[in-house]
Amino acid sequence: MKLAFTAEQEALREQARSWLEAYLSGPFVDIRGIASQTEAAVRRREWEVVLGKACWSAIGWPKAYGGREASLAEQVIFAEEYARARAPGRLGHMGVELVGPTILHFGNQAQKDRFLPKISAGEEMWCQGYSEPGAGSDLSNVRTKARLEGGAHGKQWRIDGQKIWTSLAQFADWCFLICRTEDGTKGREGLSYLLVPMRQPGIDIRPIKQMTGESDFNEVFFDGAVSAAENIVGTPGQGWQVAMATLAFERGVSTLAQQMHFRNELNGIIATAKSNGLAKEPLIRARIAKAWRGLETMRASALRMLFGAESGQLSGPQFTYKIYWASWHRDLGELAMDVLGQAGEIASPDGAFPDLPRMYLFSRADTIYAGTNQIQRNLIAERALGLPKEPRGSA
Amino acid sequence: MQFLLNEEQALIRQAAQALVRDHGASECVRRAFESPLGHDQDTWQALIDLGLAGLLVPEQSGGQGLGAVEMVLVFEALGAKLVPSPLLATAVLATSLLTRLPHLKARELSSLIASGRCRAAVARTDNNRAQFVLDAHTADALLIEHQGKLRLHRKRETGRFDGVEVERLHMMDQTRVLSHLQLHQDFDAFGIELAEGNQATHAFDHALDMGRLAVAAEAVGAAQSCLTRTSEYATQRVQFGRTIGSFQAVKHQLADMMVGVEAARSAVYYAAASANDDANSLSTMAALAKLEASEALTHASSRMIQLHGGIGFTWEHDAHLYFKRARATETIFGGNESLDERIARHIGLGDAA
Repeated sequence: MKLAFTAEQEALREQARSWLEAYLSGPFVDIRGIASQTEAAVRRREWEVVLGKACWSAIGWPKAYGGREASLAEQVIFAEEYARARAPGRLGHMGVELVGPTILHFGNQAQKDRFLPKISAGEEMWCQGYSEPGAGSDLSNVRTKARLEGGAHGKQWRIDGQKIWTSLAQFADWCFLICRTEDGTKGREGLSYLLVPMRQPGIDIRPIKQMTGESDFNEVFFDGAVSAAENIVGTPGQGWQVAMATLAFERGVSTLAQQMHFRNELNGIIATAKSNGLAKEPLIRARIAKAWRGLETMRASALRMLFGAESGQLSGPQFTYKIYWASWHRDLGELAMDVLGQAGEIASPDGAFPDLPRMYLFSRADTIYAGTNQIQRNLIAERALGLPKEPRGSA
Repeated sequence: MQFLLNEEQALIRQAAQALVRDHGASECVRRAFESPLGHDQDTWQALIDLGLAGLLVPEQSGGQGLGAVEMVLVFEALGAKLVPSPLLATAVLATSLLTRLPHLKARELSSLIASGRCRAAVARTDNNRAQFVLDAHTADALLIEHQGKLRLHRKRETGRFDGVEVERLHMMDQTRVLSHLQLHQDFDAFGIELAEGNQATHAFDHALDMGRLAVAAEAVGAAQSCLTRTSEYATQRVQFGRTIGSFQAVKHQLADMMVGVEAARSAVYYAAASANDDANSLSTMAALAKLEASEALTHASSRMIQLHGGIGFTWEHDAHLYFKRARATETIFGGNESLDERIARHIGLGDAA
């Protein structure tokens, strides 16, 4: 058990650091530090291409698909350096972190050749079509349908239905969609994992205004949208397994970059507390110390989870990680507001908030998306502790 | 970077777990802590036979020369069943302190401890008293920091120490025995001075940090036992025609216990690995580990009692042993508040009001 990096790994860190610094203090200085998912999207798309050209976009991937075949430790280094440099949030995140690894694992050769180079080159952006109005926590209750029909260019899927909470849909070229491809099926049976081009007439994207006043998420309506017959990943009708594997990739190395972002937020709270004198108050000191502990613990859990997964071992954090970071971040939002005091409630005339109050509001979503805390507790109890499953209703 | 156990570490853990299987049954543990010694002699011998008395003693002094990671694996295993033994005071506190001292007598005593022929306790005085000293009642040697000097006092054939009175306490957590020490006016006339000034203080502080880390590891093992035993109970106990583990009110509490246990385990392993890589980080990381682990155990042991219902409140059930250990984990080696304050300063919050 060793936390230190080797000299070779440290050399990669230096390489990454100087590259990031050169670009982020030079041609991309205007988007440095942008954490918002939606701000400056055009420039952030250009950034994705630059990352891809320098082979920094998907460093863990095979070289044949634009990666560097970087080891886990090297991926850890890059993720942390990327966040430390305050490089902008990745518009290409869904492609690189979610659908890319899924295609690498489950896709056929033609799909790998078609999609992976475009993802690592930053040329195609992706979004995730999972949740529906009637399929939130109960994700397998998907109703969006795809039917195979004859078309001008051979057989193709015709898609009808509605997805919701789709991040980055307005910037996406493609969507990985869970849809029902077998009539009369229910639950996890008869679902397929279908890749669908987003820029076509049958797709309507409507932003959802959320409690922060911003729109990070969308509703996406499919009304006769189409996709080529060969665009199913894995076996048709067995998309549930593929979709769950994608969710497992969500617990990847990028979580360490997220933690570095959390660290910046905590540092902001510490700086505020020191400037307004609250850093001297025992109760605030104890809460800040506890937040710091939680963040260190989170890094340790992420490393256990990542190295455990790489070696094929199941470790506890695989089950507990999501609820831990989400709850920690929600608590951090409350701490931020307590340290800011009433000044933290001041909005700009257009209703926007500075980073920490915005985080306070947005963190209410952290314990909901990607599996609510309630669902996480069910999963931990049933899968890790072996307690009885929840009974299902008949509807 | 490789955040996984290596082969040797996995073997040490297995060996410690096997020992606990043989010596950690509830009736053994209860018999041990009810005995005058407060621990079981066979268990201590088994720990010695595994070489664990010399866990942290360098190989050239006859020890295993192992580090913090191996230490936490052993203590996690022992903590699972709250096995009482002199290992914490002798093989962690005393040897951590002694290995920091260049004095020949310190080397000799380390070797003696590694061979299993000496149990030791460490104490720091305030005026002429040292309070809540772990395992002084069975110690063959006392290492006492008093007025800037660190002295070694060996037990006489009479079973007493010259210049020091040991007053054994009976604590709420019976699985550890603490004592108060009263120094007599002629204290300095006996024993040997091993170090003084900063050298003595730093060695003692280092020993306390290692002690906190070991206590944290024990708490992780204990909290895991609370979780495992309560999950088992919840899958067996039937009320309203179903196992109580099928109710979300119960499931979700068990899930929260697991979240706490895994966080604490992460913190303890991380602290141990950091300490191996960078000795300067030990003080902060040991504080982190002890706080996380004691919070997890406090939570898990309270939930254990609650979810067991009435049986969880009985003397017969082990739940109270874990609950009491949780309280003792918070207070031992400097209470948790002082540790959060240490972290507050480490992260740049400056001094408190």
